Amino acid sequence: MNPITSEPGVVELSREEGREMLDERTRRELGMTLEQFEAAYDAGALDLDQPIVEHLVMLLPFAR
Amino acid sequence: MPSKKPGDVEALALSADPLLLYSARIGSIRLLLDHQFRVIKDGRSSWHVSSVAYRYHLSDVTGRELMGWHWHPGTGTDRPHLHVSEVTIGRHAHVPTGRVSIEAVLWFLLTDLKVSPTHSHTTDYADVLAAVERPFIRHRRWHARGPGDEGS
Repeated sequence: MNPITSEPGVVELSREEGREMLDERTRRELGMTLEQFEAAYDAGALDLDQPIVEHLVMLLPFAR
Repeated sequence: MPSKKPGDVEALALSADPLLLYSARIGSIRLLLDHQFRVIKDGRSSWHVSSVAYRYHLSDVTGRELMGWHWHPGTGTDRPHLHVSEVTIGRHAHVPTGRVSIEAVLWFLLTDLKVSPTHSHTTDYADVLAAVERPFIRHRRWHARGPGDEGS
């Protein structure tokens, strides 16, 4: 179990690393690639009432 | 080479996503921290970090949301608010709040929910949090806002 302040510090991701991180999370949480997720977001086709979708949308700046 | 320019929207998140914690009050919980911000040059040699949106969430180990502190202007309500997954009120209500810092959420976890700090901060976590939050409180440009207000 993680104590609350066990984060090692701030790690800054490059755009490529950010896309890799977010792709792993969209696949894990929604079963779609980052490209599919971005396309659905840009088309207004995501259900933004779902907390996990809100969370992934908040992470989009890592990929753009 | 940095991939962001000053003024671009950037994001902050935990590397453990969600972060699994143990509360001596309510058992295992999961924390999600999402924060969007811009780095703004506001003088010849001065900069400030301007929040764009935040979303701090607590859920149980099954992923069921317990509560969430939100501010995401332009998408729904512009006010900072709280979601509480309590049966009578329901998750879709936007309970108004002031602007909530990450440090305030960590304080709530440590003091109210009795999540343990790391061994190295068992006795001074309150001082550490206060020291980190103080500059935010001193330099923030707004604390409460209503519809149509600008904030950063």
